Formats: sequence, structure tokens, C-alpha cells
Amino acid sequence: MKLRITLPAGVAVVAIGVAMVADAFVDVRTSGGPLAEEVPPNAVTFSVRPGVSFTYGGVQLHPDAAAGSLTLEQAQLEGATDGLRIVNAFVLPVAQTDGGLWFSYERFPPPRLPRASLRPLEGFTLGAGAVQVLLELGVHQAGTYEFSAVSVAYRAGGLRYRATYPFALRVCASSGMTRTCPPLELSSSALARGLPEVVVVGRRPGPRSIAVERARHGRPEQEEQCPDERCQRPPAHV
Amino acid sequence: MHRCPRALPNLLVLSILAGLATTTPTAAVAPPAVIAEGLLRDAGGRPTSGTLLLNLIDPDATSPAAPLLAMGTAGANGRFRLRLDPSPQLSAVAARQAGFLNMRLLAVSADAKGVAMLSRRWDGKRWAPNAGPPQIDLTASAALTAVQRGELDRLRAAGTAAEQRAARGRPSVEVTGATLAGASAIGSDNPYCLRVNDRFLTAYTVIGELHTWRDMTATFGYGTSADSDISAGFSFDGGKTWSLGGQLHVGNATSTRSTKTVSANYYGRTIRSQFEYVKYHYAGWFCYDDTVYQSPWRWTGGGIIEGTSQAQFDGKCGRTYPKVYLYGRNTTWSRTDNDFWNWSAAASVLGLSLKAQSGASSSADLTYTFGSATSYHRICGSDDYPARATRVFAGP
Repeated sequence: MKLRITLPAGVAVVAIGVAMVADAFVDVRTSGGPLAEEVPPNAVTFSVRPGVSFTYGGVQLHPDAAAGSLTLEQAQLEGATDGLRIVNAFVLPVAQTDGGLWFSYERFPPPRLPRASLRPLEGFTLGAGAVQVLLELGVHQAGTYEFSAVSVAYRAGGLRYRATYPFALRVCASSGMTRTCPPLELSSSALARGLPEVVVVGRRPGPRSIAVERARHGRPEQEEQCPDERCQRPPAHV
Repeated sequence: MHRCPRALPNLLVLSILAGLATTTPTAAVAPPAVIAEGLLRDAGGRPTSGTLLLNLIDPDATSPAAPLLAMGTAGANGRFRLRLDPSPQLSAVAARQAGFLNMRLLAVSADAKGVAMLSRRWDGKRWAPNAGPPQIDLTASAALTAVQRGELDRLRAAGTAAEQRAARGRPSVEVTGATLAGASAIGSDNPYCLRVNDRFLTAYTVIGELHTWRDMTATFGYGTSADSDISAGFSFDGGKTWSLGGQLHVGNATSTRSTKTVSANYYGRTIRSQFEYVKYHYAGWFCYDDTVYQSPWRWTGGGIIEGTSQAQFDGKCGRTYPKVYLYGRNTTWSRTDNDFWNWSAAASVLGLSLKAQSGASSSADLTYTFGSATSYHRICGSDDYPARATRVFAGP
């Protein structure tokens, strides 16, 4: 998606005022960021073993070729249950995934996908082709674990973004490998009509310098100055 | 919705700064959002000027009035654009249809008329198209009677007066706002129509499809609100011959949610549910239209039954349909809020074959549950990966 300066000159003066008053600056407004797109929610549920890492591959990144290259920084689980963690985050060019994308599997890596074919997400430069984000996840203890969304932080054009995907997961961990894990309800608040959220972060991010755009249909719905760290964590999709 | 706390002192300073930024003139009032635009043609396909009338189709209305929502003109180049911001009353109507408004667009040139049906969803700032192109290509091909031409002249006069009144308060406004029960903002000159329902009928209509392979169960969920865009039709000859006029959204709420679950191996079929349709026409002073219409009216909330076989699409993941997801054992995966396939011949009503598409809102969903008999399972999308595809097939 092409970056689009949306502020007229007068409002640009206001933006400068923000920087002066808030002792920080936000130096861009965009129409959502190169990875912003409307994505429908989905959810997956399966059973795992404590201490055995497992696979989640629901997120695909579709860069806009016109936006140029961008560099991935970090994947995060939003609304994650304590104890559910990312062991490793990888990317896999979709063009190299002959036979399909592993959406989920009870171990990591999944069958017929050698670790050598995976590249670390952090620092990966995304060109024109789509990639799958393949997460190696783990839990240490028996129990039920969930997340409500996955976010990917990245840099493009000297700016930092975070794209959030309303893709939920629930795993039931037990040493006996329980066969049943109650599926997530798609109508739950975590999944209701989610749309990607893009958080645009200035070059010097700080608690008082975060501009938040909630991108709906690829367009900003609001732009507000956020005075504290509450804006840094995307809300649950309601 | 997420709202960041406002930094009020900062905003105060910003306001002052903004006031100092005098290079920008005083902000003009934003015109209402565009709800319909397109090109009006004559029977020969040439752009033509004309008058456009946009009326609400409200299946839940207690009054038979068909309020005029917007009125505009197409210039000699045929281009037209109608604008409308939803009033609280219209928002209430949309809320009963999952956010959608269904409308009839009547175009009248110097000597002919044309009809299109459209559905739009208000997303808070703009009208979102749900199906079909946002540009409406409308042909005025049905001849007008002398009486209709006289009525049109009177309507144009009323509309012009209304536009002039509106223009005094809202520059660039091409249309008027709407209120219900016939009391349109066009005012005392209000031309309104009454919708006369001639006949109600029901028809099973395709709402989706289900496909399985070995060791998997597929479930299609529909409701509690309906979630389908279904063709509407019109007839200029009293119902003898029908034409498709666009798709309208059916989003009525019911007390039940219907599901269809298939555990059988190698299953591939469309699934259908029952919808109510209505044949109607408009009547009343200033109504200005003798077209007969048929529209999808509401989902009856009944169960889901099987339709035609689609098994020929399964077992082709990877080769014919390369966008494949793989899952391990004992896994459940669901998706919602994405358009499914737009089915041709989804239903037949009054001899007219209708199209139907589910999934524009979040009330139609698809769930797969994979077992433990095989170590992994495949599903694939017809045009994208299954999370976004309009069709999802199963098999190797």
C-alpha cells in the first residue's frame, strides 16, 4: 500500500505542536502501513504436550510491491495466556511451500518441513513475495492456553509499524495428549468482526509519542495522541 | 472500540496552534457520503441525462411507505452521484439488517426509465459495497407514458426546490436526507410511494457448501442473523418477463442459528436454507413507477438442507487448487466474516434464476474438525488460502 500523507498543511503545523508539547514526535501519518489489509478472523484449537513445542502458521504477510522492501522485527501473541510463549519465530516464503502451508501441528517443525528451510523472522527483509509466519510455540505445564491475535512488528521506509491479525488459538496441554480440546467460539469477543490494526510508531517511540490508527478497510478511523502506554497494546477485538 | 485517552492540555495548545495556522481557510462542511454513483445510458447504450430516485426497501417497515432517500441528476455525459448520510431512523433500519440498507434506484431519462437494486452497509463514515461493482451501469430502456412524464416534471420541480433549500444549509449536497413514513426531508412537496406487496413466496436458496475428505468433519453455521446477498428482479411488462437488478442483503435476525454438520467421508454438496421473497409494485401519488419487482425479503430461520453435488472439486488440493492448509490431529479450525462463493442458480423465483452469496457479515461461518486417524489433513481454497477463499475444498 502506498504511503499517503493525509494531513494538509495546517494540520501539519498541529503535528509539530504535538511534538513540542508532548516532548516527542510523530513524523508520519499513513493510510495503514504496507502490510495493512482486511483479514477475516479465524480460530484454531488442538491438543499439545507440555514441554513439546508446537506449530502455528496462520499468518501470511502480503507485502505491497509498490511499498518497497520492509524488515520484520518481531512477532507477538496478543491476549496470550500466561505460560504460552513464542519459542522461535520463522518465516517461510510461500512460493517455497510446495504441498501447502502448515496451519497447525502438535510438534515443531511439522512433517516434511526441515528447520533448514526456515528463516528467522527477526531481521528478515520482505520483498515482493508473500511469506508465511511460522511460530514455534511452547507451554511448560498442563492446562488450556489461548491467544486472541498475532501481531508482527516491522520497519518500512524508516518507520516502524505493527500489524495485528485477529487469528486466535487455543491449545489444551496435557501429558496424556488429551483428544478433546473445546473449540473457540467464533462469536466470542476476541474474534467478533476483527480487522487488522496497524500501530504507527514514530522513530523515537516512547510512552507519550505513540500515534494510533485503527485501520478499517485500509483507512484510518482515528488519530489520537496517546498519553500513556495503554495505547501500545492493541485492544481485544470487540 | 479502542479509544486512547485524550491529552486535553495538549489539545488546548494544539487548538491554538491550529488557529495560528491560517493558511488553511475555514473548514467547509463535508458533503454527505456517496451512496451510489454510475453511468446512465439510453437503450442504444449512449450516455444520457436523467433523474435518479433512490428509495428505501425496508422489509420490517410497519408502514408501506417507500421513502425517497436521495434524488439527483445525471448530466449529458450520463454520470450521476447520489449522496446520503444516514439519519438516526435510517441507522435503525440498517441495524435490523446487520448494518445494511436495501434500495431501489430508479433512473428516468427524457423518454425512458431503468431500474437497479443495490445494498450498502454504513461503516460509520462511508457506504461500503457488499456485492458487485460500486459503479452502477444503468440503462433506461423502458418507455415512459405521458402520465409518467407529467409526474416526472412535478417530481423534478419538487426535487429542485428541495435541493435549493438543502443547498442553503449544506453546500454541495445533491440529495436530501431521509425520514421514514413518507415524511422525507424533501418537505411539503414530498413525493412518496407506497409499496404494495402482491405476493409472498418461499424458496430454498443456496447459502454455502460443505466438503470433506477422510477423517474430518465440516460444519456450516448460519445465523442467528441471516447473511446473504441475493438477486432482486424487476419486470417492465407486469411480470411476464423478468430481469436481474442487482443483489440485496438479507440480514434479518431470527431466534435460531442453523448449522449443518457433515462427518461422512468424501462429501461435497451445496447447502440451502429457506428464504421468503416478495413480489411487489409501487403505487401512490407521485410514485411514478409501474415496474413490478421481486426481492429477497427475509430468511425464515429454518434448517439447512442439502443441495447439488459439488464433489467433483474435492481431492484436487495441491494440483488444481494449490493454496492448501495442512493441519495435524485432533484440530478444529473455524473462519468467519468473509464472503463465500456467489452462486448462480442459487434459487428460482417466479421463473427468474437468482444469484446468492453468503458471508458479508459475521453470521456465516465454516468449521473443520480433523480427527486422529491420519497424521495430517488438507483443505484448500479455490481462489486463495482457505482463510480467505470463497470456496473451500477437501482432500489430497
